[in-house]
Amino acid sequence: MLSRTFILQARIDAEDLESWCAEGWLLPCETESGREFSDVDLARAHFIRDLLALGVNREGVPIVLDLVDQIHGLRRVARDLLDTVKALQRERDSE
Amino acid sequence: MLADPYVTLGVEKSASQDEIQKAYRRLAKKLHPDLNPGNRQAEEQFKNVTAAYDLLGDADKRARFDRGEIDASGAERPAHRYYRDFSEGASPYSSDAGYEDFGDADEILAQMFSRGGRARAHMRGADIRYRLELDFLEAVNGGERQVVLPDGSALDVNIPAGTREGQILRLRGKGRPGLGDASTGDALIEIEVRPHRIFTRKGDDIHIDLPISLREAVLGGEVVAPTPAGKVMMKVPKWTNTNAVLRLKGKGARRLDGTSGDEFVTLKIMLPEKPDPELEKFVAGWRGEYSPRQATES
Repeated sequence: MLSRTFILQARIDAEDLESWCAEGWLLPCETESGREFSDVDLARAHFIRDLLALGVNREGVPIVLDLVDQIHGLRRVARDLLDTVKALQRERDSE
Repeated sequence: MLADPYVTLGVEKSASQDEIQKAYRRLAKKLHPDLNPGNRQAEEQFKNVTAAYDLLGDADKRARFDRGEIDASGAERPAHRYYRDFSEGASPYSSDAGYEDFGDADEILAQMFSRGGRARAHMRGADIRYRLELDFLEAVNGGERQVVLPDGSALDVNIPAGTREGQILRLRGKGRPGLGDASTGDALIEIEVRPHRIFTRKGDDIHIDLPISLREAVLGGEVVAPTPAGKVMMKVPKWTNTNAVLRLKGKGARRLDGTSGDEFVTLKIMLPEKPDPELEKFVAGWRGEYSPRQATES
């Protein structure tokens, strides 16, 4: 979706969008017809809006985002490790 | 029955706006789904807390709720997807930082990351939900409606005859596109029906009150009765009383099996609005001995 639709769906104003992109909190694709936003960007914008509404200040937002992104990365690794362990177990059981 | 928003937020009815905001923030920080990536219950609880705060956090809405003018459902928010829902797919925000200190595990993990990214690239698109408000007759008779989605595109919705309040119409493949080869989600449209001036609906039956004149009540005759599908002639038998109910078979709402409910017409005898000297004279000369209040007087 383009910026205009994104602003409407994320329920933020154009100024917020500019500064959030400038800060690197949102990373839309730059295309010939302008910035193109995905559903991930939209969900992240909702999250940022909620954080600000909960009283997290502008300095705190990137810290929370970074930690949350790390948690997702670690959760993914943990799940893959578990899958691998399970597969190894099955392999051993069938031997 | 919806939960009491005061209980949901854990505040007294007499709490100040400031206390309500504090209570909301305390709970929301704990329950926000994106701050609880692994806790599936958090989303439901967060939704309830947010709905309660939407109502009580706004002094105007809160006052109207306290007076009983609106109920707790007045504060429902449109659904949106949380950031955590995208953690599985590859995104520009994916972070693989945080395990460098594992030393030689690094290579194995790097392998997993690249495999995980590829293997999980297919994900069915999300369903989108809308509410559509219909006129009473539109719901009973069915028809076509165009719904304009938030992104500006339009969706043609076929409303089947007999659609009920609260019914959900599913439009396959009209939701969000999937990732990779996965299929598109569905659009789920929840129907709300506006009340009608004269018709009410109970199940598949339609009920109306129809006024008749004293003359029609005493002597009988044909009257015009409105039905959702149009006007029909209806025979009022001689000597019909107020609250007599006549049934118009098959004039109700359509059922799923193709049959229809009935329309029930409750008759009400109405005297002329302005005094009619001729009628007064006639009734004065009438020596009726009947008392309709025998039951209430004894």
